[in-house]
Amino acid sequence: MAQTIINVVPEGTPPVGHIFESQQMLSTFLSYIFNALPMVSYIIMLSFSLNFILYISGRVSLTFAGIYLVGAYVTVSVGTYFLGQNFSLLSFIAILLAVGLLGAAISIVVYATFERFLKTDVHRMIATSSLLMVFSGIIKIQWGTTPVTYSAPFLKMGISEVLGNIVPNYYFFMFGFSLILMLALAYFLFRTAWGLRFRATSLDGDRTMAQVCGVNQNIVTAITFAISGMLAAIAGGLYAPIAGASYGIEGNALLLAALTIIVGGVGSIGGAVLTAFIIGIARVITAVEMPLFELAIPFIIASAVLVVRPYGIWGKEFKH
Amino acid sequence: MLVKRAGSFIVCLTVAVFMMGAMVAGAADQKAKIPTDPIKIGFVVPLSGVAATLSPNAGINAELAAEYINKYEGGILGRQVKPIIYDEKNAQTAVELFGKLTEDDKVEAILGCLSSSSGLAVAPKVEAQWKIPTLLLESTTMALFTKVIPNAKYVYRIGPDDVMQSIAHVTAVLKDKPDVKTIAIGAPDYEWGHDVVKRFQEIMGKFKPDVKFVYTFFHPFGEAGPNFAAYITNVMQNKPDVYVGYSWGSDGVAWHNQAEAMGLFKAVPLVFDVFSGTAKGEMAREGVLAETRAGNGTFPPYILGYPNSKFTPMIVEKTGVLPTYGMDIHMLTGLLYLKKAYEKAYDLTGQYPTFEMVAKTLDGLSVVGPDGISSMINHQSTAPGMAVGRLHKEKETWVMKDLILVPDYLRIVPPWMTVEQFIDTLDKVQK
Amino acid sequence: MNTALSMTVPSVGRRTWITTLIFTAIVVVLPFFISGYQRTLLQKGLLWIPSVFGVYILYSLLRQVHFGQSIFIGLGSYITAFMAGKYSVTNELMILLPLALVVSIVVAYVLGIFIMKRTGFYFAVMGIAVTMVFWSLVYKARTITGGSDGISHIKNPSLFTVPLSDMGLYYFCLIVSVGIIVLMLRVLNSSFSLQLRAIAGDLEKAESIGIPVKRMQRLAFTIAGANAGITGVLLAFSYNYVSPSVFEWGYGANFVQSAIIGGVTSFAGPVVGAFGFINLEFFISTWFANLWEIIIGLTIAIIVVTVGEKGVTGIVQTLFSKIRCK
Repeated sequence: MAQTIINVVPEGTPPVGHIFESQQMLSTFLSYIFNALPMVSYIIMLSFSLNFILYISGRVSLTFAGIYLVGAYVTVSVGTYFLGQNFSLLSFIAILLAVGLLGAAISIVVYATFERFLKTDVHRMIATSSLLMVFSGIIKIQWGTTPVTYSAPFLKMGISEVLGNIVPNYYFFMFGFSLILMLALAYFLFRTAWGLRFRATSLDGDRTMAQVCGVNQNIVTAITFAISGMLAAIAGGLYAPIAGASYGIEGNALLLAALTIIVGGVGSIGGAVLTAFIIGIARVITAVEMPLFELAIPFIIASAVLVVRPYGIWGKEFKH
Repeated sequence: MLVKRAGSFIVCLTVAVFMMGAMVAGAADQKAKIPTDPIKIGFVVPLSGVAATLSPNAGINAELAAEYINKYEGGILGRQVKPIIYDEKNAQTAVELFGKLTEDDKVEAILGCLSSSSGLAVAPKVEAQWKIPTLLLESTTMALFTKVIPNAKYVYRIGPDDVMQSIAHVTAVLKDKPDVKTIAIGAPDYEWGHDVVKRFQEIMGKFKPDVKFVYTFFHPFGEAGPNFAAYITNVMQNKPDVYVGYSWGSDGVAWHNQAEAMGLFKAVPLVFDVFSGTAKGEMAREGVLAETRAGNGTFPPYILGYPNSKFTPMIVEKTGVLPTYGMDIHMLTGLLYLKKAYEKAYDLTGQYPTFEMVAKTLDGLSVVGPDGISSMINHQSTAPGMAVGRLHKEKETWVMKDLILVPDYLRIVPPWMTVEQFIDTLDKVQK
Repeated sequence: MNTALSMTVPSVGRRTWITTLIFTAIVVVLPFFISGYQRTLLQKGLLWIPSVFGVYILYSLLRQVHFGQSIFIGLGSYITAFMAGKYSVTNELMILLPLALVVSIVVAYVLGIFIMKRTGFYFAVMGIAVTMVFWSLVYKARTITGGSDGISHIKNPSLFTVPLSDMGLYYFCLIVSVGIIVLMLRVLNSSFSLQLRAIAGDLEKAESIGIPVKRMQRLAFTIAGANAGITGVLLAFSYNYVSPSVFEWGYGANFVQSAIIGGVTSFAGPVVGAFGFINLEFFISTWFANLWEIIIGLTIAIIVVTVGEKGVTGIVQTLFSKIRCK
């Protein structure tokens, strides 16, 4: 659809009204993409923090949703404390990275003290989802239940105007940041020696063989959990300036991430990015055009994909 | 003979005096004794889930409301109030908890139910089964007293109902911008959101029939990554004179931030944002019309008011933030209603009041609550704090200027009218 | 799907029937000694048992986690809400129960065709996705379903046109629940159970020895769905109120949690799990109103980590056998 519209504009000399109409359509279509950007970048990171553990170590761990909440709250607190209403890009990025490290630490600690004793996927799902309750309980004690906000980065970055659409620059920053993280992760996985070790133990590789070749499983799994925690915490931190940090939303975050894996496929970075676009744009379009299906559309997409392509559009079949 | 007569007269007199004395003493004794043990009051308030975002910590604030009654008001009938606080998780749990409170904990009244769904599930059971004085905190849905329990005896509501809210909102918008032509509305996509928008449009139609609603949207409620960009784009493209927003909680924060970043406050001449305020007032913005519902720092200075001057500092000291209208303020108002009902019923009957007496006494009572004088009329409180005003920053705190209070005759649906009939009469009132 | 799961599934012996009898006797007598809300909790527990048994069958025999029980509970509840509440057609249990049964069997069969193709994580998420589709449509179609406010004022049920009191409804729920337990024990003791276990063990081998794999899988899914449909009808009557939250995946997850806590090495698992979960959640959240999330979360997590596959019943069994050996 995008292709045809873009082609119509420069080609030939159609009547004036026609040009206006197609420009309008292009602008509307672009507005769908721009408006979906925050959701897209958020889904990419959140889903990949679940996806990464599932792909590398074959485990289902839902702790990431709790870490996402913690990330959002800590970003708000730290941001308000150190920066307040002042804002500088570098210090905000520093805060995000620090929050990422915190998330990684929490993830490793939870894995080492708790998750590694769980034997099957079912037990991991049940146990980690009850850990989410613990996370939200702790947040209630520390921050109370009213939402907290830290909006300086979002508001101070200003807006751009693209073809009549007003887009906050923070949307581009958010998307860029998550894309860079994903590219870095892809580089790490596919271009470095350590990445090879990760892939060797993943669902694609052969774990026993990797162990024979001297890959230390424990270290690989610990780092996997750390990276996952980092992604989740940064996702929370990146979204906090837009929506604040709020109590009781972890279940929803978890759901979006799980659906994205279903559609995108396990272990596929490109799949996660494209799925995030599909779900994000579908949500934006249905929100405006057909509200009845707005809430249902991600689930309908996921169910349809499962029926047609059981292992996701870009996924491979794993004996899991 | 005479002596004999005199003797019997004296005997009669003595007997009479004794009997009178006994009668007087009996009259004094007729007032039953009040137990000295604490009076238990049940609280069923949301402490988890999305609804909990309406208060910084409803559990602590319920305890503080009881503490206030004990410390400054002398308890209920001299008995200390002992709150029993439970988490209203969902409608089913609320039903079970009401059962536990009445049957096991033997509480003498229940305050609770913020969400409409638990109110709807609990109210018929209270009327039919438990028969205990119950004050619902919000459960704003109009259907509660019109359809679900039309002949309510025990259930009362402290929070405002849909019609009351919408009349206040329409009046405020019209007062601030009499020449309004186009309005855009946004609300969360659940029953309350749909109800208030429907009522707002109906009532605005009565007051000013030529107003056009150019864009109305309902956004998903309580999602993890709330994204309003598409809606805000549409609102701004439609160029309304007034934007009316009903988003709250995490949605409210997200809406406010995104609207500010995309320049909605500059593009739309008047914004009326019901919940423009979080616990610390970060969302407040100069010149925006807001309702006192969100409370939080947007009240008139609390240092002066009674009982606010005592209650609010207690909450600020313990939780660090101001009390919210929907939960915290209503909990104290509810306790004040109960105190008055118990004491009045006792004064009138001389017995320790039964549940039925308390429930009957509650109707028609007036109390001075933290949000002003409120009266219980036809089981519905007049909810005085629900006024609309302009946000203004004064010495680092947000206050509400030019408060618009709606007269009571405009807010309360008479018992002989349906809601629709009442709304039909509004255009005459306006003329 | 996982080698760690290849454990024994118990067989139905005389001891099972005796335990069932004792359990029935206890729940028959118990209402005379407890207060009304405790009877409500007990009734809720009884009604959960069929649904938890559905999860149990899929989990213990097929090794699949069924988060989608909420679909059928929701369907049953909303059928009841429409018939006995909103449109006041009938409140006759003997009409509503078969109706809900037929609807949930048809829906379960159709969904089973798609869902049972997947295994493991995908099966779990598929259950979640489908129930959320139902949730979002019911939530959004507010003119029909009442949206988030749900449907209140569901009439009390009648049985063969005799109106049931609260106590009557309790005993009806008890009969239905015990009936389903007995039925499930028979199912688990049949060749059906063996065939399912063979499928879970090795799908291709099972197919080669002539087991109609797909039909069997769908049958298991349909049985689970039918159980949950019945639960739905009776739950709606117990609370006289229905809201879309019955379709939420978190609600369906409760049954999985119950089944896991109860354990799969004993048929008592679903029963213990359902009652245990309900009481744990209710009482801890009333004792510690502010901290219950942390306490319950940790409790469930610790139970799952320490007892693992066996569940609470398995641990009790092992303890008993140890004592007996001594």
